[in-house]
Amino acid sequence: MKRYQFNEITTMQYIFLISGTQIGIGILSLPAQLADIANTDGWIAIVIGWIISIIASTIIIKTMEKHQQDTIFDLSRRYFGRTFGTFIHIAFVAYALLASITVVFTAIHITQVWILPNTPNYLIMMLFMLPGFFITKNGVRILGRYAEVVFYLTLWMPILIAVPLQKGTILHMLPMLKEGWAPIIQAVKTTVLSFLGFELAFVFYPFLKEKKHAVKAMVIANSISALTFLLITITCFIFFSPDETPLLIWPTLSLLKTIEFPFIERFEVIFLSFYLFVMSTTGIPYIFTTVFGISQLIGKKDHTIVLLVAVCIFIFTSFLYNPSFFHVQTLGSWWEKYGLWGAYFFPIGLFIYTSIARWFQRGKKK
Amino acid sequence: MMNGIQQTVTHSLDMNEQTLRDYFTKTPDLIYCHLFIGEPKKRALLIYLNTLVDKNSINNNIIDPLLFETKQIHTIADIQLPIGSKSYTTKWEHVIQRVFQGETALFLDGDDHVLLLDTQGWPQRAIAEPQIESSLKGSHQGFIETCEKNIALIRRYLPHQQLKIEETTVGRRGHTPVALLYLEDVAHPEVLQELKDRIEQVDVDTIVNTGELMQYIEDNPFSPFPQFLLTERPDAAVSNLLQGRIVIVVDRSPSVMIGPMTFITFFQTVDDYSTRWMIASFLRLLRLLAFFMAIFLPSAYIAALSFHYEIIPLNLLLTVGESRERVPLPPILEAILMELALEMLREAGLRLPAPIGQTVGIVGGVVIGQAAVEAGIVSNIMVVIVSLTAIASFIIPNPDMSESIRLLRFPMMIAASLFGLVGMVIGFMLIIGHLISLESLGTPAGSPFAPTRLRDWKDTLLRFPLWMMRTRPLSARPTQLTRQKKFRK
Amino acid sequence: MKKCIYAILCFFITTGCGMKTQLDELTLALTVGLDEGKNGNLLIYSISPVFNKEAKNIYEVIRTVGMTPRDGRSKANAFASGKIVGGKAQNIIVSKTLAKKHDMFSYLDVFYRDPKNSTTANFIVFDGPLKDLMYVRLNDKPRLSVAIRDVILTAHVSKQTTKINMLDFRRLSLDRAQTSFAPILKVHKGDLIAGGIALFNEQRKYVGSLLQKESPYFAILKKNVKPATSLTFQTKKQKEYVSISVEHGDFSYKPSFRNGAFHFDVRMKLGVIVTESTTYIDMKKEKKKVEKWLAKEIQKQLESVVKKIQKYEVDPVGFGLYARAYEYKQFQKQKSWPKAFAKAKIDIHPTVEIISYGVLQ
Repeated sequence: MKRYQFNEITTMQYIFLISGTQIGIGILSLPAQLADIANTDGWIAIVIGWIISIIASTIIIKTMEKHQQDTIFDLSRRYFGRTFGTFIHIAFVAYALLASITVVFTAIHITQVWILPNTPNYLIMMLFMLPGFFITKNGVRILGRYAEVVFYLTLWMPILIAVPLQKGTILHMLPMLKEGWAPIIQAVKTTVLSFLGFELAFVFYPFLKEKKHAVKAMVIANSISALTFLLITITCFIFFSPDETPLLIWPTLSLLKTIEFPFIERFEVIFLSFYLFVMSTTGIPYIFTTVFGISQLIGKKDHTIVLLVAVCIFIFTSFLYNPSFFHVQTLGSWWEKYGLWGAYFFPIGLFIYTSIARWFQRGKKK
Repeated sequence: MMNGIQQTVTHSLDMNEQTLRDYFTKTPDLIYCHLFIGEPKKRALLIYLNTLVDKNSINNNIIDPLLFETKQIHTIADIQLPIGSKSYTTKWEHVIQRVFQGETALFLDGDDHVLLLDTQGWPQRAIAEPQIESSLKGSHQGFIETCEKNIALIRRYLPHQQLKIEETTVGRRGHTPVALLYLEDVAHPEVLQELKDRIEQVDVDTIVNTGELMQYIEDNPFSPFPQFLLTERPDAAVSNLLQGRIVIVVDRSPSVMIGPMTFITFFQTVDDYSTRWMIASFLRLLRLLAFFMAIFLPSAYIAALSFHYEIIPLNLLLTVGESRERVPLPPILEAILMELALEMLREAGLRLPAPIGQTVGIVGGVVIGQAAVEAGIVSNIMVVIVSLTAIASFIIPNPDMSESIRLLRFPMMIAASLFGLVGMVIGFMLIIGHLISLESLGTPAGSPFAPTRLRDWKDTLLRFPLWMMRTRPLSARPTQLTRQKKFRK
Repeated sequence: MKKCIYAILCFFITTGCGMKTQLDELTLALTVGLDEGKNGNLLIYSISPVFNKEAKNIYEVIRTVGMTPRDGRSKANAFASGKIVGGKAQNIIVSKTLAKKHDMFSYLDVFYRDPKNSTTANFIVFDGPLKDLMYVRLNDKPRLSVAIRDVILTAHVSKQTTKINMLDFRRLSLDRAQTSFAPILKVHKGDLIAGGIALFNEQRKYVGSLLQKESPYFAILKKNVKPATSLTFQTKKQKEYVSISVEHGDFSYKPSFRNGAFHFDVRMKLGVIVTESTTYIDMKKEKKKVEKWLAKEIQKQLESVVKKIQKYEVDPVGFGLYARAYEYKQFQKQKSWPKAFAKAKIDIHPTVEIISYGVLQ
């Protein structure tokens, strides 16, 4: 029986959904974080992080494969029983909620700093919640289509980022492995977290129409993200000197400030406004996961009402609380800590547990 | 019907006539023509609506042979008349319905069957070139207000047994005949069934124009975008039929409706296929550019002036600053004023006869173009932007889509004046979010981009050479995909 | 739900005003000048365009006294007709006296920290008190800010000076392997003249300058020869001149570390066009000889430029980049790269190839 037949997504939509979730707010500050730890060798850490994230996402798919119609919410109950299963359910929802709060507030913060310094944050929140509501409301299929369209619409952006390359020098990158492997291994922790987003395969896998392509899709999605990260990081390293990059908070945007065309200047304003598309493909899947998880918890089929309540809470919070940059960073680090467990350790544990559980069951039958 | 007393025609001519006279009160154009036919003479009654029939046909093909009939007439079936389309009925309901459609009913004394003769003939226009969709290379015949003629125009392109026509009527009072045309081996049966169900559900007085029917059966009535294509061109209809779509011809309306459509199909014209592919592709890109310009240009002006002065290069900024210096209005009011003036001009020019329309154009051009700038009400740049927007919105080939885009411009302008570029991007996001969830007869309107159907991209932003377009577009959900064989390398 | 949307829209419209930075109400600071006043306090000049057609001057100059530029700007708001913003700044000009005494970053920080400010503004050092520049009236170029920008750009293209924007200034200053530089602007008899290059040390203080005639050689060292760098040499005996224009060049900088000092082996192959020769040279026969002679002359000049920058303990050319890339271990050991660079030995070996000598023999 296919439970989510009406909401099926194609392999392509699945790829863009996952890679769209991965490429988001982290990329704006990633080069600075890497340069801080591993100097200009940080890009090697991205490659390592890419391999690790592919392994982790393959494990997720292998776990999900046994019950193709189950999301993580169904799966946790199937294996862990009512009480403990509900606990995992709530933990996952809390994780998605934390992620969506981080994404939304960071997006608002960046918008306020770079584009609209005089606009109060609750107005920006309301503005962001409009498309957030209308797209999330329609379910996974529309989410998939949205990720697709955004991918096409943002194809020009990496090309633009590469424009400042000609002003920099490749000498900044040399010598390779200047401090040996130790700082690179340290930096892997950062890069691994920038790949966060593939763990939503726990939720989206059952909606995938052609399950046999799932592993391939995860590899492609991770590769798209890895390529983007590499492009931006290397461009930043080549343009800024290795001593300057760690001093910038959002090196990617500082980079764009230099781009000038005869008809338009200060490209970072336009770029960042358009970057809201990219951020929306990160935030919306997390918001959807939160809302979807809660409505399953309370046994509602339609998630619109939960979504409406969630959006209202978001807006209401923004009236009372305007996070400072420090708070935004703290939120981000919480997410990353949680994400390390949720996206890397938990799937491995779950995989081992389910394998053993199934092995035992098979043994009983014999 | 008939007060529920009499359902069927009786044998008595007098009684029948009485029934008719009771039913058709205050109907001066209903003609009762009493005749005596055959040897021996037998009483007969001919009725028709004077206004809806072809009088020549009645005089020559009915009355004349009847008067000179020399055979003995026993039943109505004995009457032979030189008219191809005839039928018999005993039901009053049929009689009345047919008479209203311009047919002639012949009653014979002592027979409860009525002979219905096709003598339709009403005022109609000659076939002419369509006014709103003129074409350079396509055919110059346009649809007219008669269903049969329109079907004829389509059939001339497709003399093939798979072209099926299903007729039905819509409306309690109007009984508007509606015909569904499709290629049976191509069109998807689910789509067809969906369309039929929707038309069946329409329960209204009448359908005056195709546009009304469209609004009753479209998927999302709250969308600013059209979900069916309305066209007056038979070649456009045929082209869409061949792609696997369904054509709905509504009697009394010169435009036919085509579905299911996708968003991008509103930017295609039949001319694209008869132009060389490079030029056609260029035009496609031009239209896409026009789409973005028409929606975003005025709002970009507002956003740049109200929030992001720094994105304008210095030399341009100084020019803009100088031209804005005398203008007392904030950019949003300036823009809305000019855009509204433009819309009014357009609407005024549309409804006026051509000679006066020209005057409106001159008045608008001079007043808005020059005098407003000189008086210091608006800036030069604004005039340039308004004109560019106007031109851009006229490039969109489909009038419905063009209107939607013109309407969307205003919310975008407000968003830009409140939040600058961020407002514009959020507005764009909402439009995209809406477009991808929009469906036409259950087919996603965002196709072939969302969901991606790479095979369909050959006929979207670019128009590939014709010999490469071997398959029908998947977005129309055709059951038979291959359109042509590979005959050219 | 529809009602909800309307409510939100109404809310936006009523609260939306007051957040804008509308062009008409702004005073765009196109040029910002920093100078030291008599008592050691900071003088801030800003030049903004005036759009009013009835106004006599199409730009206004505002002078304020403050501790930092930000401070001065808020004081200037009282004078100016609107809010002063730096988002379109074209030139940031610092007087030489100020640059000598203070770390530039303590004054320029505001331009970097506020993302609304432009980082593509030219950074310029002015030779003399800034009021000479600010109140100069140019009849043929009505907008001073544009005139300054254009003068610098033209001089940069003809290699009489260089050009650096705010972002690059920061990039070079923060890089341990380089130091930054800036073009010098002067006012001479009511005219703007750009020439020479100001050199900054690691502490972002002005330490010395290269002369106008040394600027083309600086450009060659920076591998910046395109579109054409023109050089003039005096022949040995007579008072005759030969001018060439360098069209393209291949450069190689090879660093090495020997005996506690860095060595740089600089090789360059320059393709030149002879543009002027007041004496007769038989190009057919003497091409090789002329090429050699030119190479020697260029070598002499380049070496003197390098000596000069070594003397000032600065590295605007970016030798440090090569040192770091190829001798990383030794580079990291140095506490201060410019100091190490001052001790470095630099061998320059240019070769010249005449690609054309015009239509005359």
